[in-house]
Amino acid sequence: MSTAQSQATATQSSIPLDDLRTCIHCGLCTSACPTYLKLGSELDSPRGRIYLMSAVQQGRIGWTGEVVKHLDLCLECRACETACPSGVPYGRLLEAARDEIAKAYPRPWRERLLLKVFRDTLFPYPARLRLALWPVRIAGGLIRKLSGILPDELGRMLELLPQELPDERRYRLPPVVPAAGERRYRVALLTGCVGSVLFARANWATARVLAHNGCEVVIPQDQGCCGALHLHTGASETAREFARRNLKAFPLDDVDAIIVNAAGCGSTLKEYGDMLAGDPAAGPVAERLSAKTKDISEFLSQIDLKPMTHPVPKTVAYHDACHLAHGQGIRKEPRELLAQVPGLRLVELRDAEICCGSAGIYNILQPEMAERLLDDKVDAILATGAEVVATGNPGCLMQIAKGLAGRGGKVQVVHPIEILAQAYGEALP
Amino acid sequence: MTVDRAPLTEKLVSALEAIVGPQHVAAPETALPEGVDGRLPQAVVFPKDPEEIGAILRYANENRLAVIPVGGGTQLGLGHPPERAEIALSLSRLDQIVAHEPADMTVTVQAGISIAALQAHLARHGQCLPYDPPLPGRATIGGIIATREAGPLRQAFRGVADRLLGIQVVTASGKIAKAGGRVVKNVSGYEMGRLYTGSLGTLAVIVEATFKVQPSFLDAGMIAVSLPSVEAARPVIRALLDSDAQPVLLELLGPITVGAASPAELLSGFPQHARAFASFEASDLPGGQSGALLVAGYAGTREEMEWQLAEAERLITPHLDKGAAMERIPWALGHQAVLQAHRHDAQRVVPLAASAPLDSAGARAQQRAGTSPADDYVTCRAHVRASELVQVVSQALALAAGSGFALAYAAHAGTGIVRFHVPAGDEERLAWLIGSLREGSIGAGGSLIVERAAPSLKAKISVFGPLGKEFFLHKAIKERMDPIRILNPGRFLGNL
Amino acid sequence: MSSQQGAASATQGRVTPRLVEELRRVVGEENVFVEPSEVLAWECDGYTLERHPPEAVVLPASTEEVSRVMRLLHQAQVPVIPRGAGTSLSGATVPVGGGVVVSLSRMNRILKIDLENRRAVVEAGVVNLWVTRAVENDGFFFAPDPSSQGACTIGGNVATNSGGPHTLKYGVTINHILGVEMVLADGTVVELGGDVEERPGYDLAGFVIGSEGTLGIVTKAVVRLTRAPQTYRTLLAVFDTIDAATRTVSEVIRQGIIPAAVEMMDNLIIQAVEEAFHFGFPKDAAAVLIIELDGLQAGIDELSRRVQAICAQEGAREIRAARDEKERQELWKARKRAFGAIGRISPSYVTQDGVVPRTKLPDILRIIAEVGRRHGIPIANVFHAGDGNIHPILLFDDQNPDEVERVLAASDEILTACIELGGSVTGEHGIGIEKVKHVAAMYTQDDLDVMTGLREVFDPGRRLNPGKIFPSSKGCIEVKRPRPKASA
Repeated sequence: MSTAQSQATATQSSIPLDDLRTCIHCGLCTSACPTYLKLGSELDSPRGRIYLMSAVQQGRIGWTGEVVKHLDLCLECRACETACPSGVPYGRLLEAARDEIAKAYPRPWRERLLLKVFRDTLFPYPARLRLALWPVRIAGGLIRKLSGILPDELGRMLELLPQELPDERRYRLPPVVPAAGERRYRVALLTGCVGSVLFARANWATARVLAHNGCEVVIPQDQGCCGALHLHTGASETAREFARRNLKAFPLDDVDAIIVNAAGCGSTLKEYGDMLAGDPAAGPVAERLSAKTKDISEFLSQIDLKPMTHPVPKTVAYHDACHLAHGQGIRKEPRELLAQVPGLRLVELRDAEICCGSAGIYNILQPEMAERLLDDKVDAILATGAEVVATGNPGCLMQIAKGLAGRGGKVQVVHPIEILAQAYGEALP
Repeated sequence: MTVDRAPLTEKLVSALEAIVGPQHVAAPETALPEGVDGRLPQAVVFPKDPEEIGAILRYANENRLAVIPVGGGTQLGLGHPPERAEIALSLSRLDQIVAHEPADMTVTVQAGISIAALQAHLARHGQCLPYDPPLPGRATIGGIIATREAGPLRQAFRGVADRLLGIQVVTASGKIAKAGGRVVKNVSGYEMGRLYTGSLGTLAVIVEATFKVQPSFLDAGMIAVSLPSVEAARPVIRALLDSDAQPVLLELLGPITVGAASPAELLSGFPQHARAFASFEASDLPGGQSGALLVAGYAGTREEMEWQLAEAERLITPHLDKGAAMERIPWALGHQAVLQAHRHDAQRVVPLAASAPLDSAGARAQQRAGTSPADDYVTCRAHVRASELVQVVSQALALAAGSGFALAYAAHAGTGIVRFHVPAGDEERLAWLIGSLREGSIGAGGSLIVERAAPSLKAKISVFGPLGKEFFLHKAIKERMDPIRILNPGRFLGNL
Repeated sequence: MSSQQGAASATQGRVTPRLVEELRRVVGEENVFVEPSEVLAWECDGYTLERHPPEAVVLPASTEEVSRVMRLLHQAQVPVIPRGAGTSLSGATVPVGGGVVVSLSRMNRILKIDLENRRAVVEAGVVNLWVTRAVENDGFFFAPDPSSQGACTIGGNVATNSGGPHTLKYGVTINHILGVEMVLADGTVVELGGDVEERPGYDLAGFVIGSEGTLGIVTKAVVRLTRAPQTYRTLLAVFDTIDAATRTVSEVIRQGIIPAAVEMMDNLIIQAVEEAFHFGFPKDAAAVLIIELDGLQAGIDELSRRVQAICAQEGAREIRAARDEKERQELWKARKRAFGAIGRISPSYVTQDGVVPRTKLPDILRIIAEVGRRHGIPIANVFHAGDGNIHPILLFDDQNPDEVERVLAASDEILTACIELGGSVTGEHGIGIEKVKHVAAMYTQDDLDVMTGLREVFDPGRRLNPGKIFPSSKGCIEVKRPRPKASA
């Protein structure tokens, strides 16, 4: 009886019914959800959000502002997927719901403008971002002082920028970085959009560590934004366009792996197969690209690693980037790599798997919740007494650095690969 | 004691005889000669089953007669003297093991069975109920529940209610009501067992209970340490509790005269010793020194026990200063001594008559001969935060010494429960002492109740201490369960 | 029947805009929900066969706020449904008669840890596992460990006297609570029990445990911390018949061995778990037992040998021992995630909860199999064998009304059999709304009168979590269960 009905519903709604029905309403996800922990509201828990999606799908309620705000507040950190015993693909459900909301719910102009500026215009395009940032480069101090009188969102974005923008020229990478010594692997590196501008140093360190371990590193010049920001904010069609572009840019047949050092991007690349499953031409290629995508820590733990020779005598706390821990299930690899660094003392962070509030451009769109989560994260970091906090995602790096700066902390925030690069003797000023 | 018989006695006796048969109603002079805290009931009745108890309670309700449920009679001095006490209701004929399935590790018993009899039965199946109240031959299961008296093993096995799976009572209105069941997990309905446990028979008459039992100890041993002062015990207690070797009992006893004898000698002479020192004047203690005995018991397989004893010795050794001594002692010796230390009046607790009226009052009197007068000791029990126990005891000793009392103590050191015994005497001074001890206990997060004292002293003090803010709930529960106050009226907290 | 219900609703107050305004003043605008599109998220918990939205939801942040909220609801005579994480499997937080959900989820702080006295003071909304996390580095743990321990709250544990695999040795929640702070129906705050082992008077802290929110709202609890054992041995024993597995359980206990836990999984659940997680369980086994022993290094190997010998003697075809903590955690993960694994192979399922005397396990398992066959409902079994606490999982499709009916009928038959075998209809999930009708089969009216009388002492208006635990006093009204909502 129900098949005809459910098919009818499915055509109305892009939220996959079968995915919705995997949720058995047990509630085990609630305590993993950062927003539920802060607000205590079922509506701001994964189970509650799924319930809202079901209710919309059943026609009990519509996409009203009351409903949408609870889905907007989701960080999409996917900690709930880790906690879920039933394997609910929450991220997939949320992306579908956000697509639907984008179509069905007219957002206030301010929200639309924000998405336009940050998601659609600036972040995915390194050239534009560089251009937009030049005033900061030449008059950073002044601009930062101005942040108080700028529109809130712009001010917040400026606050997030690293205190010292990296010297891109020093860390510029050639199209191919040769392996040091015998070539064992050939890999392609995703340099990212925001990352290539703001985190050129992490990219450089990634290439160096790979080279030290016998990898020839190819940096495809036509690569573009992975599409994560769009996928997570109800613009999955644009995300798919980005994906198609990257399918062309990466020489799949010529490389052993596609290396990503940004958790959010890696998680998205691994989902290309799912995203393009309906596309008979691109689908199979996307599937292969996803299969070849590896986080840098994941790849390094799978190969025979050369010994690290240079001590880094620091106390380091590791923060789990959500899209690494929950999105890709990578938790122990970065820790094990850091633990191999001579002289390094690794300390565990309280609630290491709870989101820092960065979550793509969440900290710009939902500043209040982002701040609350950041405060907790900074408390946890300061409580460890660590000199360095390492995390594998640009968003987290910026967010945590901002939080620590706000508290006058002297804790350094780095990508784990930068520490590894030092351990291989690379100088990182 | 003069017997003042009320005119209703004959009517009452015949009514009771109609319910249980004439041979099961006894005169209090023979069956319960000392009464309940000096108050002599008009009749002692020995019903055979819950139905008869129901009939008695209904009769009592109709005629507004007070009923005092009696088990082994070892705790009749607990609480305020009852306001009224027409009927003493003995559970001694309800002494059967109703069900015991060894592989289920549960046992269902009637309330009147003595714990010793139950343990003997369980032991044949390699099991036990890990409660060890003093006077096991007389203490009944019903009494243990009603008074919450678990004994030293509560260190490892927790309180009486923790193993109580199901309970059957006869309510004040004479109805049989059960709660819980015979399975080890059950969350259907309210935890009535918790409410009845420690309720001192003021809510209902407990007739049957089901417990989760435990495999018997395969092996058990003890270490006794004599220490120069009670304060010296604190780091030792801490070390023993912080160890992987977890004692099944951990008792702190004193005061003792340090160096006078080995720990084993002190313990083997304990009943006499205890009675002797209670008559000491504080100044009799040599050099004013008051040492303490710490007794730690360990159980398990032979291998486990040996490891634990060795581990305990290793932990204790650094604390053995001058005057301290440590030795292993047999479980039975230590256990017996510990129980005696908690019940100084053990020698004079007289068993309740069997269901048939006793042959003669003379025999009873003879049994009592050789024991001390009824008001020999005053015993108080304090519950405090375990971390503050030693301090509470130490303060109590100082208080007693400063005011000329010979004070003995016995404590479950890991759970923060301590009994203080002082010889009876000037009641004004005793009332002052009890008040001061109580202040110390309350200061350590707890409370102090007077377990045994002459009725005349009880009249001068508060038996249970100040009432908490939530007393209205206790009162409302009593009013709901026993609206016309026939069950142990006035005996409980706040004279409920 | 309808007139009685009408009479009841006549005395029941409604949530008026004015009341909402007052509630907002107490807890803040953002912590009161009244929109139908929002309150529907609280219309059910882990039990989804019955749903009823509350009229409002309030999220207080302190005892003081709870008290003020309760005073307002008392004045307005509105029913109150206390709620923790909403993981109940018996519908204990379903607002069957409307009313206001008071959720403790914002009260989630651990207030004090006192290792020397082995206790912690926590707010009711603290997640069970957080307590253990907070003290495990010091060698302690909080013993009750329901499968939902990663999400369920201490307040909820107190309300349902939760258990878990390790209750066999360590006892259930009631054995680990020393005191509670509770807000009564009229807003009065009382502290029951507390820091020390006993207080003079009735043991009210013990009494309120397992009362499913019908006596008051627990806002804080003093919990007992248990010293972690020195070492573990965790065994997996594989059997070709269910009987052999259950015999093994009885024999282990009969020989005086109290494992920390004895868990059993039958073939269907093994297959589901394997499908989902690939733990390497033999998919053709009729049953496996997970037996965990804990205690002292001295003697544990001897104990493990004895247990392995019993397994072998009763016919285990294979016995594996976890070699390290990682393997041990893997085994437990398999066990605790079993329910979820079932979710992957069946669109819907109901986890039942019943208890029989341990020695009656073979009987009840035969009955379960027979009931499943007769109703055409696949039933998987994963349960606390050492406690005789069964958890048959009935697999069905909630879109199929006929299957729903058959599942309900099969559940009832299984529970009735538990009672007949001398057991109970719930070992740890509580009565909730699901099992109200079975209560009358377990207790006489006299038994129940005592309990309901006491309820009135705490909550004379019976406004706290109405419809839970006790059958209607006006005789046995068979509540027709509403169909679960179809998705279309």
